[in-house]
Amino acid sequence: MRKLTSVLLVLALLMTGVVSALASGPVVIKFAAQGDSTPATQAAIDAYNAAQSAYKVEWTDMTNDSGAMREQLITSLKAGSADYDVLSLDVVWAGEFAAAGYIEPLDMMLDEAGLNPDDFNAGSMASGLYSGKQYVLPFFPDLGLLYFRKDIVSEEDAAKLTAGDYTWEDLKGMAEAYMGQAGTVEGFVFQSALYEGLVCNANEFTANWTNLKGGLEAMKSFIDSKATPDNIMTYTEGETANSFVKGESVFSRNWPYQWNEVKTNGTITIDQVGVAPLPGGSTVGGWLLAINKNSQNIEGAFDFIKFLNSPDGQLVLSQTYLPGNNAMLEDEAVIANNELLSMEGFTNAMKTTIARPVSAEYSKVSDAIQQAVHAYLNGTSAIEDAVAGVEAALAQ
Amino acid sequence: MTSLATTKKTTPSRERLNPLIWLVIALFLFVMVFPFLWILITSFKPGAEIYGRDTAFRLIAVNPTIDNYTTVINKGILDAVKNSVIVSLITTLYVVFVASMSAYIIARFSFRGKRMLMGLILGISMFPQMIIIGPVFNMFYNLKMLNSYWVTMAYSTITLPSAVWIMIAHFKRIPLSVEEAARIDGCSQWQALWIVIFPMAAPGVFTTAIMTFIAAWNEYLLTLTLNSDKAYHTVPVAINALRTQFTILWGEITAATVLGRGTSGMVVDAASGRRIWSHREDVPMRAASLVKLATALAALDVLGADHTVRTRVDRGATTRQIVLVGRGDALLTTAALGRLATATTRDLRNRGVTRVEVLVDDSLFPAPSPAPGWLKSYHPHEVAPVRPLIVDQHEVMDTALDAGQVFAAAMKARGIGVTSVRRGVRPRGAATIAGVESPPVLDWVERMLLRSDNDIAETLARLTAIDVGYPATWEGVNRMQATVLARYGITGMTLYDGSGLSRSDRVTARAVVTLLRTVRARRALRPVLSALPLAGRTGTLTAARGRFDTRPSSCAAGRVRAKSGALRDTVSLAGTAATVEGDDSLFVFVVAGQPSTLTVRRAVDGLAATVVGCW
Amino acid sequence: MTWKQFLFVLPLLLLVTTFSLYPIFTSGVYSLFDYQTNDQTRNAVYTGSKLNAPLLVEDGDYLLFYLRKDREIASPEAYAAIDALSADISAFLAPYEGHRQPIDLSEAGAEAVTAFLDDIEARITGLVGAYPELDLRVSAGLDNQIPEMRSTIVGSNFIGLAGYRQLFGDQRFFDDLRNTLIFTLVSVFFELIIGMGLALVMNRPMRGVGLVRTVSLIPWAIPTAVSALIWTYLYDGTSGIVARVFTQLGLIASPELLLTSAGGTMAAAIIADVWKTTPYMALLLLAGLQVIDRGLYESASVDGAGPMRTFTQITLPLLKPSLLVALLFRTLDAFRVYDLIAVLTKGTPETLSIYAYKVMIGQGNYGYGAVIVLAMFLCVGLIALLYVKVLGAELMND
Repeated sequence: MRKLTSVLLVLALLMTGVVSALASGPVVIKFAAQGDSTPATQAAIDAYNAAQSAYKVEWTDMTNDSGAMREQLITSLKAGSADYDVLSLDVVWAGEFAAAGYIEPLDMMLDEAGLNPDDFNAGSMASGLYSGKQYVLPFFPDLGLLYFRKDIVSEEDAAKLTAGDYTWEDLKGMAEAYMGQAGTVEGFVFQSALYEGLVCNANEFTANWTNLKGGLEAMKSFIDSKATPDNIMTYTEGETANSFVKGESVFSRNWPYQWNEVKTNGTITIDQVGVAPLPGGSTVGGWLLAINKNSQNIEGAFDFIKFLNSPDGQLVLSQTYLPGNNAMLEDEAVIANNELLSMEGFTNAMKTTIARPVSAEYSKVSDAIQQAVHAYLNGTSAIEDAVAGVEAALAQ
Repeated sequence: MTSLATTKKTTPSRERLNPLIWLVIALFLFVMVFPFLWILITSFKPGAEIYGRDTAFRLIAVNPTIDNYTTVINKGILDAVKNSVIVSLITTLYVVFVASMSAYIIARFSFRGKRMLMGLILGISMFPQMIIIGPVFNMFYNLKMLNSYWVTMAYSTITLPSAVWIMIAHFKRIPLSVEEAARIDGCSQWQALWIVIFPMAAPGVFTTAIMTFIAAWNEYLLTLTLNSDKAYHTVPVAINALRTQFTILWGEITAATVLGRGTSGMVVDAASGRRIWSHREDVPMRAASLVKLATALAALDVLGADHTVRTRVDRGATTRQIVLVGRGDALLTTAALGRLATATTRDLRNRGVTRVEVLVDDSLFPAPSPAPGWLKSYHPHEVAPVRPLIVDQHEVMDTALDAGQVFAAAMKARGIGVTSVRRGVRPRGAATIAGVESPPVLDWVERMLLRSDNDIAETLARLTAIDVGYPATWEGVNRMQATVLARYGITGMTLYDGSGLSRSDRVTARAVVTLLRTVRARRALRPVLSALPLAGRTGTLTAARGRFDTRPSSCAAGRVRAKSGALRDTVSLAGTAATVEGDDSLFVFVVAGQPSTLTVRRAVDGLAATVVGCW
Repeated sequence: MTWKQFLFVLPLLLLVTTFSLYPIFTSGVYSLFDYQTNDQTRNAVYTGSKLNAPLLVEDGDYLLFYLRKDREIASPEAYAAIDALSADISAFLAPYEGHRQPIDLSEAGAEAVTAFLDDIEARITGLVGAYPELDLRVSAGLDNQIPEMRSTIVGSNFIGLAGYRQLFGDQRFFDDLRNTLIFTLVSVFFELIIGMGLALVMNRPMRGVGLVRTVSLIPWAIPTAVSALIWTYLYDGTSGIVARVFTQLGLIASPELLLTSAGGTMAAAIIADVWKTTPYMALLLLAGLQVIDRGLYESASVDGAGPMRTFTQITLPLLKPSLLVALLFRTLDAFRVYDLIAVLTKGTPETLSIYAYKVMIGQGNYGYGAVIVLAMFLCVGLIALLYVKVLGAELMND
């Protein structure tokens, strides 16, 4: 009997070996990320697939509407689906996804791979640190910048801006003074529509929520000023970029992607543009990489996100995006790809990054802040209500 | 209304209505149609005009374009339309079917719980659709019905209630007698419904069908959630997805298209120069190795196809010193150095010298420095620091000393000892011991274009500059290019090197085409075209490199001769194409801002195949 | 009802039960619980005590990980304590491994877990205190992992009607209710009037009626999400032609108000909705008009009745069933409006559907979201009842 059992066992082992050999071929890793209007993401995926043969990454193109993408992800993850292995998450979603138990903590895998969380962009990593566990690696970090027209602004003012040596009041004065020159129509454009971007901008105006009254009043004074367009309260990043790259505004607050927009779509040229830090600090944005807890291929998923953060992967991504791996900030090829990294205004901004609240209930917090600020900006409520509303939201 | 008063007794014929009523109707129709018309107008405007302060209100675009349409088609809107049609049709069919059956029973018969049933159906419509997202997603996920046309089943929740109620209202109107007659004739209930009643309720059925179709056509939330796979997106979902996160693509959303932001190109008929197609042809772009076409033209024009240079060994300051003088032979081989060594050895032996010091003189060119726009990582494999002495195209940082070492080894092999090899300058007036001629410049040009050789390109550019009278510096190269190109009337090229490696080089598509036409028209310059790689066969365009070996570009193999170019983020292709109609076309395509992966290169090859006309 | 008759109704019942009743039922259940997906202590409907085993194991593994790392830097005297802790934690975790969902937990089980956690918390505190110079990683476990492990013991999150009580004090709900009612009543009113007019016109066999019919269906054939995008462009403060025309006509103070101010966005949404849905009303009413016998009109004209009387005495009464159905369903649809406003203005004026969506799916609060949904149902049910009472109870009769 024992002999039979052992024979059967060996047979079973052989069969499994045969079957798994037959079934071998690269394991497919599904990567859920938004569409990229630049080739960087596809190039990075191609590079990874070419660099090894155990895994093959397939990009599941998610809708570009971030809100809709978040809901799609949640619906799928809530059902326990293993449809996605690697997830690209907005910085503000990571806390929520971690709290809900949708994503896999990475500390042990990082340790095994010899990677230290401190080697990566602090803002990005902090956004994915929940309950003491590190849940993400960066995909690409983003931060808010002040863009200005070098050819319009005086050298003295430009120097002040680049050094970060100015206040919102100063900026308003400059915007009102310079507007109309060299074909511009507006002084300053930024994002104040009722959406997440409002929280980023409000964060910057209020210096990371430390100066609520002053900051929100400053924001309102911009809205009411002639330096901003009449319909500034419908502006999102798209309208802001459109206005600035077509040469219509002297100053704008936007993400680093606007630099590329000037180069590819701009009516103005890149030598007319300068960047500077913002008076209240630069809100950290960008996207993070996380692993679906129910994924069937956690090792493969981790291997992929490890690659994206390795020098090879970072070089490919750097054609459009800022590096999440801090060492690459000094890499010559990366700097050559992204001139922003060598600009003084930019590096100053990198030193003053501020984060939005990291919370399991980020949606609720954000929604409350948006409602409070928007109501104040469009004149429906008073400053005290706005301040109270934001404080209440942050206390959650 | 007037009509009633003037009704004739005959069947209603065309009636004339009060003009006021007509005016109201016309106004109403205008309001209904205006948004659609406005969007139609907008769809032909380029992006700048759509946002523009004044151009947004113009009736006719300043620069009308169909770009918007082609983009949207490229982005798969036709697939979304297909999906929408399929989904709407399926929904309509089964809803009308199910609703008719149920409405029939409810309209015709009384039974216990009938009011409850009707109330239930009505009650369902009182809940917002989003509550079904979670539970139905879970259900579909477990049954693996996601990302399929099964989503039409979920549409029942928005379409069935109103369908049933409308059908009830219409079925009630059909007199019972008709049905009774049918039953007497032997029809079953089923037959009575479909053969007798259903046709009589035609207006109601028609209405229900249209409403259901439109409701399914309009549906957004359920499809977005249950069919997240783009292949199954319907029109509302696909169109909303065109709104990228940071840009509102109005042009694309109003049904339009664009040909990629960093692309430019031009296609002309070779003989007449007539423009066949172009896109952004006057925008200066980085064009990578297409610059070598200019270098080739300048070399053939200034130096001439037969020109050679002579690498020499001259006497040194002492009898025990010899100087290997590089004159810019980029194709120098070990064999050639061997022949030099043989001749030198003979001479030295005659003088009784058995040990020498070898000096390497590469002073023809100034000390190497990277060109403006070169990355440090280019050295030494993309291009070696440019010196007039290099052997076997070794990719090393100091090709002159390296050549000196090779020469020294050759001397040693022939019995002359070499004490040291170092850099130096030949004494003025020193006599030449031996020399070896390079292959003619024509060979250099051919090799440079076939293999896209950067070292040959830079050396050629320097030699050409010297011959014209400029210094052999980067600035000299730049001025030489400008002079030569200007002579041929080729404007639109700003070049800082000879190979195209410089990221500061700028070339317009039009300039490239003009250059191609120029070389085609002059016998002396013809080799620039004939030396280009043959698609799928030779040089940088062989099938082994993945070029022209897959559909759709494989049909162009052998019919296209082109110079390829690639930087990290640029892919270019320019040359001649033998079209299927028997003419020749000259073309150039530059794709900038995309990584130069094989995929992109193959896409550019596909463009060349389009020029040929076989795709 | 006979067996055969039942079969006719069966497909409807199946579809309705699966895709409508089941979700409604789950919503009802959710409304009685504090069900929030972003909080692992209540991310499902828990009636009894449960243990979030996967989370417990995950945190336990973290403690083991920290201890492993600490062992590498610790001095040999600490090994005994570290090894003992590791062994005990592993042994404790063993029976809880391999679960993907929370498991049932008895009282005794809960006590055992709590006791164990107290024990290792004390031991870790002792270990950290004994070697302060080593800066042991496991001390992080005291602040993060241990409290989280305690939270894996989950009790029932049944709250009964507490959610509804919260609703009564929710000002935002009532503001949104007001917005929704204004939107619904005004839109439906205009759609009815204009739709009726359109239907009357389309009912005539006059020249060009085919054209009128086709053209007027165009707005309806464009998907809602798409037509909202069209209107967003038309209303745009800088490049929107409708905004400009309205400003020039003096209807609004300045162009951007249509998409920013409270009143402006309401007007904008209503206009877009009326534009889109009038054809729907017209079509429904037309179907109803078409079955009215022409002979009735002729005899009316013979009797000397003017157009107004014909309309009120003949057309309207005969149209009543269709009219009621059209009104009813159109009102229900308008009350539930989501796509149009979400796409047009990203959520102003906020209606109940949008609020429910934000709470349920945006914030993951399925419990309270379901409460809002059921409240919506009650409101709209009242409206439906009102219609039936006012416009005739024959609807439900045989």
